[in-house]
Amino acid sequence: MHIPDGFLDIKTTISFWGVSIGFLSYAVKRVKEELDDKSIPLMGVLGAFVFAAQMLNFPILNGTSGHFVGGVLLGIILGPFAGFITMSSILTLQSLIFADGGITALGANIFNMGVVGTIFGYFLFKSFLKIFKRNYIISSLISGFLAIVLGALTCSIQLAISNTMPISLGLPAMVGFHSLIGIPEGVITSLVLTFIYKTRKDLIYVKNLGGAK
Amino acid sequence: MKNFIIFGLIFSIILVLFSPFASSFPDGLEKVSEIFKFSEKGINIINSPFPDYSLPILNNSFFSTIIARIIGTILVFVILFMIGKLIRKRS
Repeated sequence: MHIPDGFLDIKTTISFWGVSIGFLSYAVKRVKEELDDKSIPLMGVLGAFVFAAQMLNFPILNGTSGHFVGGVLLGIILGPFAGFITMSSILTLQSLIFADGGITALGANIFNMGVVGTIFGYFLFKSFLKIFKRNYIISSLISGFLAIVLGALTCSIQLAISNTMPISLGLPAMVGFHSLIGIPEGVITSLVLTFIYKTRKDLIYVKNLGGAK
Repeated sequence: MKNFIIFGLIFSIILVLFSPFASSFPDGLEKVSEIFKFSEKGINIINSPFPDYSLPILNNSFFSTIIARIIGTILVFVILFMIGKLIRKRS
């Protein structure tokens, strides 16, 4: 879902840089208030894990692949704002060092995978926890899936307002492919969360997870 | 805590060792850009040291891929650690 340079026009590029910088400055402020010392190496190791996992593309339909993004996972374990800073840092390094995602498109990529995928994904998870009586397994599965689909949706809107892609056909195509990518995203999010819950649940930002034992 | 961090880093590096076997099909967005004929609009503005997650100076693509990706994974850990410390310091 990493947008390269050249796909977005100037107005879209600048608008999403503005929105993402706004979220970043608010996130830094929030993290300053709530980050404790043990969260710092945790940000590093989860960032490393997400970075590594993002390189493992798996095939879906029609000669197309997808990969784990990890926004919801970062949000649940680190909290929405430390998770967002972690995701933004990963996307920045991918763009600067690995040519994965454009540098001009970074604002839009941070919006799709950070604001939508991590912060909004975190709040989706919290809502599903209420609906499913604290069952973190099912809640992380659904929110992981939805975060990918919604990120693909905002990506389609960015491409459409840049006049790069027709929204009537492009949006269903983007959402369609990413619905297939969203299923393993939800499953991996749920599996990794379950592993951390069983081994070190004290490290998880969201407390009182329960449900399926 | 230390054990968890070490385990996480080793696990991440093991994942990287599997990455040369990952699917090389275009991803969802790349596929859509091919279908709607705008893939040629994609450009690289900056010269990355490791384009497409590999080291251009090594000819062996298998090893160059793995080495660049392990460096990247460790770099993500180090930079996030530094960012965390920096945010804490300013509070």
